Amino acid sequence: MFFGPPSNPLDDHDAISGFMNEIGEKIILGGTTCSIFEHHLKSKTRIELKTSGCELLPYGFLGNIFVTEGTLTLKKLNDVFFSEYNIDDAVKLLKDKIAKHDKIKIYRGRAINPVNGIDKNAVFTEFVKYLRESGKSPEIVNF
Amino acid sequence: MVELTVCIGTSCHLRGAEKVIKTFQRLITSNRLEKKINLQGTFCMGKCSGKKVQVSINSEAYETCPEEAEGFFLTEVLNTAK
Repeated sequence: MFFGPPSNPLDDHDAISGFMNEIGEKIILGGTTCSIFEHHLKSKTRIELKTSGCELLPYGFLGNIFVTEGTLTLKKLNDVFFSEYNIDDAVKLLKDKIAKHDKIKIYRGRAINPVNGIDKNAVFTEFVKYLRESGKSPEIVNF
Repeated sequence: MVELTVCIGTSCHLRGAEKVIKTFQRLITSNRLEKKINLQGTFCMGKCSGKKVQVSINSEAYETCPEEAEGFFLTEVLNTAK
């Protein structure tokens, strides 16, 4: 998983290269993060507008990589992490993908978007805590 | 073909991007413009500090909000699509 843009844009290339060279299913969380990937990979994200509703968080695919909005999606996933969730949206897709894997490596970009006012670090810390409580082994690489 | 793009990143999502998209989808259908307007989303237009939802028409930047989306479509988008 790649969550959020690196705090130093000079690290974008190394972070993306490292992530793309990983083996296994890939997930990108975050709109700005997605834009950075699009720039580096010279590819455009295909967003599934038809599945979006006013209450649903958007998702798409960059090539075959699943891409979602970042902090709000992860926050909502935290809220339903240990419960049934059957709404057909980005959160369910993300939940299902995480459930399939025991080892999850997270490239964590530490840049903060000051505009939206969401505590990204708190959301991420809670997510990692829930991963561990569910028996998974998260490995975190900070950028 | 008019390329109508709506930002659905976090900041624009919080400002009502999904409602703007629903309004545009409804107006495209009711005006039978499916072959003239290609509505798409993007995760970030790099203008998170804007006041409203970021939109582009053929790569030209605009902004709107759920309350103004219909008026925006009927003026800016339809003018471009003519």
